[in-house]
Amino acid sequence: MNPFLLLLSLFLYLGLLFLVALLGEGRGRAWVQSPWAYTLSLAVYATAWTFMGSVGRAATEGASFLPIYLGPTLALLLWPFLHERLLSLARAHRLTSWADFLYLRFGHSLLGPLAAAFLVVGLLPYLALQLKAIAQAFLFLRGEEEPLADIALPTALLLALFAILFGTRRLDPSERHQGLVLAVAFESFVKLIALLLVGGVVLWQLGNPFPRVQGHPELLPLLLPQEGLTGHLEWSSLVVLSGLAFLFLPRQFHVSVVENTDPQHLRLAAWAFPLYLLLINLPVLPLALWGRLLLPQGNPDLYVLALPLELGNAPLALLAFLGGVSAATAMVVVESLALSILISNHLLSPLLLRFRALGSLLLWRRISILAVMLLAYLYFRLAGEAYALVAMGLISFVAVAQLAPAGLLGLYWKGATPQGALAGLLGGILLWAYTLFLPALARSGWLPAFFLEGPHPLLKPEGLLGIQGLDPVVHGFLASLTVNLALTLGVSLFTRRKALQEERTGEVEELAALLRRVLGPEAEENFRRQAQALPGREAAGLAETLLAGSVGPATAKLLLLSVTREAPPEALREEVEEAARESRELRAYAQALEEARKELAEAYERLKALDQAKDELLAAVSHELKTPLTAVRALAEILEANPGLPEEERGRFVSLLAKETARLSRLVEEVLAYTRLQAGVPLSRGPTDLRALAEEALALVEPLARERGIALESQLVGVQALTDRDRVLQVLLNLLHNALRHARSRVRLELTLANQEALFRVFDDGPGVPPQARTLVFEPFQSFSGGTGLGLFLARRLVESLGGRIFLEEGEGAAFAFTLPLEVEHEDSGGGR
Amino acid sequence: MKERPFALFLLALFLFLFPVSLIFPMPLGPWGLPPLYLYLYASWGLVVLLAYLLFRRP
Repeated sequence: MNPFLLLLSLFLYLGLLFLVALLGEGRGRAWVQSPWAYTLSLAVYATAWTFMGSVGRAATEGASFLPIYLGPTLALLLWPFLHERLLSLARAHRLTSWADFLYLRFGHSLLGPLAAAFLVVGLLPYLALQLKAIAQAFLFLRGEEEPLADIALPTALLLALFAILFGTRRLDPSERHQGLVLAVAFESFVKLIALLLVGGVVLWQLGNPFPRVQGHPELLPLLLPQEGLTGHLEWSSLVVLSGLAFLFLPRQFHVSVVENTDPQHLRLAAWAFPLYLLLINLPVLPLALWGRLLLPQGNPDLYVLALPLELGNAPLALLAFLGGVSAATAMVVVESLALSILISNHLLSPLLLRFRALGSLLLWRRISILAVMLLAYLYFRLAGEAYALVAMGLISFVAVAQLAPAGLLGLYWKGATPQGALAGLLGGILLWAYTLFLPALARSGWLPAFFLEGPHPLLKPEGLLGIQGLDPVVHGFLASLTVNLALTLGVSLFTRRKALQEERTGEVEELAALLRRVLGPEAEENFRRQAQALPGREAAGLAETLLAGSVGPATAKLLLLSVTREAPPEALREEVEEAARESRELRAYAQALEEARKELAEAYERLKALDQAKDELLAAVSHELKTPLTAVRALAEILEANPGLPEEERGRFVSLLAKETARLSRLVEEVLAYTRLQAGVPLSRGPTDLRALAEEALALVEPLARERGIALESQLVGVQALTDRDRVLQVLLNLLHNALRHARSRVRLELTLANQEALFRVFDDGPGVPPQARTLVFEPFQSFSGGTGLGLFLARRLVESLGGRIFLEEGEGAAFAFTLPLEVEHEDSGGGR
Repeated sequence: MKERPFALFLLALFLFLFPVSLIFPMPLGPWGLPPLYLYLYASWGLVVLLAYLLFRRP
């Protein structure tokens, strides 16, 4: 194939990826938010190792390529138990990797850096494998074998640029990278379509390979299950291993947890992603068999490219090449980004903090992406065709599986301790290195053969305790994971004690200033908004979470040390809280006392006023009594001294005498009523016909009205009430007398039923109550017409004692109204103040 | 609600880890296709279908 065309296609495709990523950052945001984009982005799991290596593995080892995809299917079915918990933890604490989780859960300062460094070492060869796949495919289509590295370096640099551009725009790596996600989803779609097309065209043109296999007995074992207990153990181990790898690979954590926008997307992913894996694996076996049949001398890892070329279909071969490039680039970009975050959070941040250069963290994260890519390229150049590279796919899987015991036990078992997690991880790493990594280097000729033999037959790296016949990867996986799990459990059980969780507390102002220094004004504002109502301990926790998302949990803790202090321990905190509670209660008690004192003072003032008012009342009553009494005495003396007065004159004097005594009587009645109220005479309730009572009141005041030439009008409805008849009558008489005193020509009494209450209204057409007097009209001794000033006050107290209310209505003239409940349980017996 | 996903996980685990060598000792079977792969892809498809039925609605 024309190398120029090939190169052009490669760079055009990478350019297309940039455009897709730009679309994701801009108008394509809605696509990125869709569950389909999330599901497709999970397919970053399927790398060039899947696209080309699966066919190669199927062509040489049969069905053992399938467990790598059955494991993730199983893992996704457990998402309600695993991912949901992870997602909520990641959101609450801004986790960016499993290393962050281990540090958060166990708090051991060594766990994060150890996990980060180990993952970088374990995954660098896996990255190199992807670069090799691209370079190898490119050279194969060019028709050359050497030099292998030609195209790998510019590709690596371009991919590093891509990861830097779309993965490190901001310091906070826990923020979503929409462009990156859309590009990865796009690549997942391309590689699926490419492999299905290659498989479909090969089958269409060459037909069913299975009948041809019968004539090739050497191919029949590829169609049979692995035999015996060893075979079954290998199969099961690979299923479990791939399930754990799916959970613990940094790139998988990144796309499934960090880039998740909605936990509900996992519902779709739980069936759609296994379906994706099933579909992408459908053409693998037919391609492998046709490869073995038609190209027995060819490299099985290149059958996907070689078969279309064999059929003379160059465009299909080009499509297959781009599918392989898609698979490789998606993995390289996301994995390098995830590793750079691991490096910066757990290895670089603490160092930069020590050298007071934390401000350059974003630059260092970009540099670490470039460094990871260049190291992967270097490894690929050094390893080349060596076993250490070829076998690295599964060996890397075993490496990331070492995080599983501490990670899963940390998630679900409270008894897991930092010592246990550290011992398990260290043990697992050592066993991984001893059983897999060093023998791989020895097979490549980089280390002496001794590393394949071990110091003793029972300590043979690929056959510990004399085990024979197991695949080295399965053996290494079982050995390292068993030791890891045993150490995590055992050490945890022996170091179980109540964990001393050191908590810190601090002032919001100082914490906000720290966030401003490290993360900028936007983060400071965000923190201030959230921390407004938080106590010091929780504010410090929030600041730590925000910092941890950007600079890693260990550095966040170190940063906080300068602006916080240790929160009091639990026991002491209880005492402090108790003291604070008592103090609050004391303050409330003092406040209540102060209020009571004020009320007492007011009551005293009222009593004083009342006492004074009583004196004034006595003076007023005496004065009021004195006038009619003087008149009565004078009239009586006149009558006594002048027995011969004419009859007409005598009649006039007698009439005046009667009028003055009536006035005297009314005065005495009011004073008595006032006294009764003050003395608290109980109510005498009984069924009362209010209309009859109103008519009686009208009849009683009728002579006075007639005398004054005032017309009495009424509109009364029939109402029955349980009330004190005499008091109601007295109120009515007070209001009617008052109205008659001020009316010009008419007084009107109304009785209606409103809201289950009887409503009396007394109107007159007099001048009305002056505005300045309206608020005082019901107060005692407030006379505006020369009376005692007790009439309306008595009326109010009587109405209130009966459970009603009295008020002055707006309008022309005066309009007094009062209500009475029809049936009431009133506790106030009518006592005065 | 978590019982059904877990039951499906157990079913899938059983199907995927079943010792198929006990029942499929021959390389080719019905329609000239390998029974091992027929079984694996069929059980995989069944698990996907059940997962779809289980998770399709919130």
